[in-house]
Amino acid sequence: MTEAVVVVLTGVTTGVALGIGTRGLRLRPGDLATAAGKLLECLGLVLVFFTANAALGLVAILASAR
Amino acid sequence: MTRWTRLLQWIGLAGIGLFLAAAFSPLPNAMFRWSAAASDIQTADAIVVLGAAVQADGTLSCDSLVRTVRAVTLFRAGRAPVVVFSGTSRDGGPSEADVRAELAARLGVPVEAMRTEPTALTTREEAVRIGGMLRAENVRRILLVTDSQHMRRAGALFSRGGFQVFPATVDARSGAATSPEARLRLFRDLLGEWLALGYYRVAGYL
Repeated sequence: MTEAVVVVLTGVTTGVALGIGTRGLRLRPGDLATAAGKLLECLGLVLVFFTANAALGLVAILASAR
Repeated sequence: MTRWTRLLQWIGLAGIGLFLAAAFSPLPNAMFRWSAAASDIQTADAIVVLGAAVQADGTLSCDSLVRTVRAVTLFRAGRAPVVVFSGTSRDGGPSEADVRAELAARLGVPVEAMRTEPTALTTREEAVRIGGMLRAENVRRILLVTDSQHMRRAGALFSRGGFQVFPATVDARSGAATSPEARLRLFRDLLGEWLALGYYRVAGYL
């Protein structure tokens, strides 16, 4: 039930945002793909930095423990 | 679009996929069942109860409470003559070990049968300090009380310290989480324990 609410809520708010963007702000729907690509790129960068940060921290702890 | 941009996008997509799988699929529950250690209750020389957490006002965490109750039931069933409670203090409050010992005394465990280790901050420190304490009492076989995910790391440490370890697992969290929040919490806890296991292996503690 919770999952269904989350999925429906996400779908509805996404649809509303698309409507506002294309009709209210006159953005081109094709720009959405570019924006999604940028979003994924930023998220990927966050994950890469997070992993590198954790790995560096691990190495630092190991080095200081020896 | 460069090759790096494309790679970052795939990593981002994988991150979203992992998040959705953790929140909305049975993946965390399956991981929990797969990596859980099973109990092997035998008669031993001592029951060792590893630390979890205590609040500054002396309130035990759920993990700490269930481990303590598990140890008391094992003691009262005659599984071992000695119980060792571990756990430090927080923000100047009472130590987890002392709070647990007090609770166990109220539940019928004699004071002379209890030992406490209130200073160890990590699982490794617990194994070293409790190991030293028990070796001095000629203890060789221990019933180790901790949660089913922590048992693999903790059991290996005590085994390496020369003890014959019998796992007595007890979990405060369920491996049958039903809400996205519970599944994400379980997933985070599992990743944390796996990271710790990896760290202990790399550091040569196991």
